Parts: sequence; structure tokens; C-alpha cells
Amino acid sequence: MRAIARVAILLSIVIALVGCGQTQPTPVSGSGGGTLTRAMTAEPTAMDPQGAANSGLNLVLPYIFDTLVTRQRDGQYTGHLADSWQLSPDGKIITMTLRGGVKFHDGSPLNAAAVVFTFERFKAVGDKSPIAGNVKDIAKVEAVDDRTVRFTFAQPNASFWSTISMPYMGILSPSAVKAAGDDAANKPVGTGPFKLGEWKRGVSITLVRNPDYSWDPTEVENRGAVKLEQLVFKLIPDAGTQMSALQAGDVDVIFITEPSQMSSLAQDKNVHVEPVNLDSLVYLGYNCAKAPFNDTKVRQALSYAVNKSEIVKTALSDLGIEAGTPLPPSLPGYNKALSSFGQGYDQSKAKAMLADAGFAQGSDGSWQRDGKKLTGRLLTSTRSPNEAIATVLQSQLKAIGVPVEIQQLDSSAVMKATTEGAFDLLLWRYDWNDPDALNIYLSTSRIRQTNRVFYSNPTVDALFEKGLREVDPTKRGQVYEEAQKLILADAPWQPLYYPMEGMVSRNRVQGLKVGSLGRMLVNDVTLSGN
Amino acid sequence: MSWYLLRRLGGMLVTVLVVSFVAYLALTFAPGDAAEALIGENASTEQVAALRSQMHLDAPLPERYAGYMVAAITKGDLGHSLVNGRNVTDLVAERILPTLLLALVAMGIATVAGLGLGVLAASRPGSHLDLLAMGGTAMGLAVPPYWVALLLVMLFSLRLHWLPVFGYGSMSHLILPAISLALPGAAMVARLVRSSVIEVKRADFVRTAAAKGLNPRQLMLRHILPNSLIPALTMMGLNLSHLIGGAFVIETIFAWPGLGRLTVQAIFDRDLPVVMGAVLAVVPLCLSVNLIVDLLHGALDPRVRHEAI
Repeated sequence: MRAIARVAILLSIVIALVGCGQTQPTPVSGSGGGTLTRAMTAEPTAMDPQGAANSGLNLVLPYIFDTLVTRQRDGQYTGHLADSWQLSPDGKIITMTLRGGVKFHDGSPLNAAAVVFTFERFKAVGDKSPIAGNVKDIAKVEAVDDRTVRFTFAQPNASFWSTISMPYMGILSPSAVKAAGDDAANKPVGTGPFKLGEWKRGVSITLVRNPDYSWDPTEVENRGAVKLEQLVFKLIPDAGTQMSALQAGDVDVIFITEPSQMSSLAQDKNVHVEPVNLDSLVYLGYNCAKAPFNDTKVRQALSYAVNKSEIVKTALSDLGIEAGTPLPPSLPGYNKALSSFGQGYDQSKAKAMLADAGFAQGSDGSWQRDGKKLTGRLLTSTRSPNEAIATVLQSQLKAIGVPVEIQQLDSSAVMKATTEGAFDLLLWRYDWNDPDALNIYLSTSRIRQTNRVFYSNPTVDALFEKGLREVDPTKRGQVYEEAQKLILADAPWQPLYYPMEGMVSRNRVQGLKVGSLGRMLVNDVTLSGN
Repeated sequence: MSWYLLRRLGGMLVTVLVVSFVAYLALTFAPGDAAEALIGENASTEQVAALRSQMHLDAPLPERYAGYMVAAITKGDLGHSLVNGRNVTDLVAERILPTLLLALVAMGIATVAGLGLGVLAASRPGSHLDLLAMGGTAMGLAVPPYWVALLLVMLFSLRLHWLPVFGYGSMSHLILPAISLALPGAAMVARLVRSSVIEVKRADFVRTAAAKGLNPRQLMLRHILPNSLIPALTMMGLNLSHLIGGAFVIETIFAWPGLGRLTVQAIFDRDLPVVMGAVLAVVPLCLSVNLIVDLLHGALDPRVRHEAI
């Protein structure tokens, strides 16, 4: 009995001391020759690209399905399953030639009929998909011959390219879908570099190599089948556990979004951290339909009070880039110079704007107009690092005499509150890979839907429409530049930063690359011993 | 006896109904619904409305609740997940086993460790050993299990490489989550056993037994321990509900594919049938354990049998 007690006591002392020790952990050999393991935070709901809308979905799908075109990191679209294409002069017809010799995992050939089948099935079952509207905009998809597909539009649609490059538009094998019947969500059959091996629900998803693969996208060096035997996604919901799993060698790759993790991993010699840029923006939005934020001067004044570099440094530990424009650098229409149309950090200008808007500053520093104190509720989600950013914003607004109260809800509750207009200020973000994002989030027709800030400007609306119909990339970019100038002056959003992620891999992983949408490209990956 | 049992079972049914109704209400009135949660950030109102009617989320509340419960009770049909369309009975059945495994092993650890430590501490009250044990249990109660879990991972997985950081499937995966989960329970049981052993030791019948010449070992096993176990038993019964609750957090940390993680995700997704399925599985389970504990209580202590049963 006494011996046991001694061991127990010793053990508890050791546990208490673990936090202090600083011995170098011995390296552990990885989990087998050709298996790359990646942690995922959430599990896909289904393996049918067209069935659902969850974000976890496109993590696995791009390895099983290929798309007609690929969007590269620089924003250019290159052919993937499509070899070449021609655009009619009026922009309403696209004729696409498919790559030859491509086979689905079930052995059936990729042909025009498969592409037509994919688009028709999408129109029938893809209601939940985030790109449903864009696909429905395609009036007709027909097979001209075995390797030629013709897309016909009622009006030209410039976001077509981003639409067909998304994982949701992976080309399906018609014979496999028909064979799977109701079980299509569990039996994905595409042309991708991997096939679905085993899906242990709630635990992991294993993909196995497609040995016949020889139609890699242009971004990678290895144009043939991948060298890895398996690609395993392990479900680990907790970010801290993901870090531990990486350090213990239980997984090879994790993606981190937490600034605090970035700094602690940067010192770890066993791993490599690769910054990943996203097509995203985090912004401070104002409820443009609610007094006093319906007053442009008030919005501009508060925007002048925001010190973005302080946010990026203190709340983000540099896991993000200061934003000056509504569109991120990776999207057409981005122009750094446009930030001069917005509100840079200037506290005295902020105060002058408030005075100009009819507010008077009291002895306690707060502002009043018509007997009403200028204050507000800053709504955001519980997602990290929103709390830290909201707190910094709160102190920056306080510094010019505007006290705000922070309200944090879970994401669906925030979305509900914003569509109902139940907020004053909003800390939120968008993730979209086409400049049509501005149309989705700021056009009048999307108020109470995805336009969460109730912004409305008919001139801007017209530019959005023009940008959507302009198929010449250069001219299209100019349209969005014009729109951004007006948006920045109206200040429905103060763009805060372009968020980044960190792709962290163990040193044994060589040749790992990042593609568009922060996707992990494994085509060139080889694994060394440790 | 049978009358007592019948009354308790009736009470259980009412409790299950009340709890399930409260859960249903809470989730219904939480802002946002499954259609919005599922379809996400970029959907139009029409898209959400279409999905909502497809999911039958637009029927009146009493109708939906009644419909759900009638199907659940009469046909055992818990519906389908709004998120991935899977049968909820299958989902819950698949996930409840890992949770039960974790909770029962943790309960075993808590019981054995708690009893041992409690008896040990009570054997010489006021000694250094007692002080250390009580100090340790105070810490066990005060420290949140998730923090203990992180420390255990740092020591046994990252430094010593004895045990895996996370996962499910083998004994070695079970050890760390079970220990972190068991800690508060073990501390509670230890404190309770210690105080009741000390109390029973002072009782007249123990003094009589000792005077008759019984050796200390027999005295402890025959007389003191059985009498001190009664409060500890109640505590262990109540503990199971705590363990299942605690498992919700521990499962997330160790990526354990249990019911807790399923439920937490379902709440974020506003996936009502899955949350209800979990509630309808866990609540009767906890109530049954409480009932069994009460019955055992009667078996251990004849006084209770006469009074209540």
C-alpha cells in the first residue's frame, strides 16, 4: 500500500513539473513509408461534391476529383481536364476541348458526356451548394462531340472560371454515380490523383494512390502519379491537440490559424512553417441602416480611429497582412493604391469628422448628438482570433471617446443577427475566390442575405453587374477598381487585414506546395526517414 | 418493492420527457437554424427558405416536437441528421460505445484510486500521508480535467513517447483520456471515503468489535469499509453523469470519436435530430444508473430498505 502511495505521489510531482523542463524531444520515425498524414479540424459531411455546403468538404475532394480548369496561386486559370477553349465574340458561348486519355477511377473514360452529366446533376441536386446560383446561370451545356463541350449563357458570366475551378465542380463519373444510387455521398469516383480508401467516421479518411494518374495541373513538377501510397486525413478537433500530434510525429501536416501557435512553432526545428495567403478579408462593418451608423461621416470617423498595424502586430502576431482595400491581393481588381480612398489611422481626423457630423464631445470624452451618446455593440463570432481583435478595436474606439460593447456569438447566431440587422458594428470576414465577392457581400439585392451591413449604392450595384458581365480580364479588373473607390469612400466596411494560415509540416515531408484557396498540393511530395 | 420500482420508472419517463422538451425548445430558440448553419455564408434567402422547407423546419413547433417524440417512442425512429442525412439511431449507436467505454474505465479508475487513497488517508488521520493525500485531492478537484489532459500529453506523449497524443482503437489510446477524466471523481471519492471511514471508526460497534479482539485488518474489511461505502456509492452513481458531461470536453481534446463530440458539433450545426438522439440516449442512461445505485443502496443498508422500499 505504502509503495503504491509513494509512486502516486512521485507521479503527481512529476506531472506538476513537466511544464518547467526543457529537454529536447527525441525524434520519432514517421508512420510508414509512403503515407502522408494531415490533421483536419472538421469532418466532411459527405463525399459528394454537389451534395453539401460544408467547408470541411473541399479539404478531401480536390484529391479525388479534378476540375475543368485550375486556378493557380497567381490567380490565373489554366486548363486541367480541359485542354483548350474558345470564347465567342459576344461572350455568351464557350467551346471547350477536353484532354484525351483521361480515365475515371472506375475505368470509364472522361468525355463530353461526363461533363454534361456533371452539370445537369448539379442543377438537379446542388441547391445547397454555395455556387448554385452561378451554375444555374449557365443556360445550356451540351456535348458537341466526344471531346468537345459547349457552354451557352443567356448573358456573359465572368465568374464562370472561378465557379468551374471550385472543388464542388469536380467532374463525376456518370457510370459510378448511377451504380452508387442513393449511396453516391459515400462512393466518390473521379479522375483525381487519389481514390477513396477507407472512411472511418469521426476518426479518419484514407485516400490511396491512383496509379494511372498522368494529368496533373501545371503548377506541380511531377506530371505523373503521386509518389505517396496514401494520404490520410485524421480528425482532430482541438487546435492544441493538433500541435501536440505534429510534435509527436503522429501527423505530418497541420494548418494553423492561431497567432500564438505560429510563434511557438517557428522555434521548433523539427517542423517547417509555410505562410499561406487566402482569398479572404477581415473587416469592421457598420450597420448602414441604423442611426447613427447610417451617417457616412460617422462610419468614416470610426474608421479613422482604427489602427490596423496595431491589430496585426498585437492580436495576430503577424499572421495576416494589413488591408487597405475590400479585395485581397490574390483577386483581379486589387490595387494597393486604392487604399488612399479609404480611411487611414488618424485620431484627430476621426474627432474632426465626428464634430462635422454634429456630435459634441462632453467633459468625459464621450460624444453626443441630439442628446444621444455615441456608442454601439460590436458583434463577432467566437472563432479565434476574433476576441483579441475585437478587444483591440474596442480600445482604439475608446481612445477617441466611443465606447463599444463586444458581443460574441457562435457563427450561425451572428449570421442570424446580421440578416435581422440586430447589431451596430460587425467584425466579420469573407472567403471567396472571385471579385464577384463584392457583389455577394455589398450589393443592394443581397441586403438581409449576404449583404450583412445593409450597404446600398446604385452606382456601385451597376458596377458589380458590369463586372460580372465583362469577360475581358483587364477591363473587368478596372471595373472592380472603380467600385472599390466608391465603397472605400462610403465606408460600409473598414478593411482590417487579409488573414493568413500557416501550413506546418514535419521535416521529413519534402516538396509540399500550397495551391489556390490554401490547398495543400502533394503531387511532388516525397518522404524521408524522419 | 415492485410498487417502488414502478413509481421510480414512471418518474424517469416524466424526467426524460421534460428534459427532451427543454432541449428541443433550447435548440429551436437558439438563433439560426440548421438550414442557415448548413448552407453557410454565401447563400441567398431563397436558397435558405427552400432548404428550410425541405428539412421541414417551417412547421409549427408543437407539431414538430410531438411528431418527433411519437416517432421516437412508438417506432424507435430518431430521424435523420439534417447535416449529412444519416440515420440518427445509427449515429448515436456508433458513438455511444466509445463514450461509455471511456466513462466506465474512468469510473473504475476513480473508484479504485479514490477508495485506496481514502482508506490510506483515514488509516492515520493527521499524518503527513493524510495531509499529502488530502492536498492532492483538493488539487484534483480544483484543476480542470482538460488542463490535466494537456499536462499528461506533454509528459507521456511528447517527452516520454509512451502513449499516443490522440486517437481511438487500442488500450494505449484509452489511458490518458480515462485518467484525466477520472481525476475529479477519484478526488471526490477519496475525500468522502476518508471522512466516512474516520466517522465509522469512532462508532460504538467498531469499538465493541475491536474489544472482542478482531485484528485491524478484519475490522476494516468487515465492519468499517462496508459501512463507509454507502455515501461513496451514491457519489459514484452521481459521478457517472459528471463523467459523461466531462467526456464532452475530453473527447474533443483527444479526438475521441464519442457521443460528446458528436453532440457539440450537432449543437453548432443546429442539427436538432442528432442533439435529441443524444439526449434521449444519455438521459435515460444516467437515470437508470441513479436507480441502480439507489437499489444497491438498499442492498447494502437494510435501514434504507425498510424506510423507502
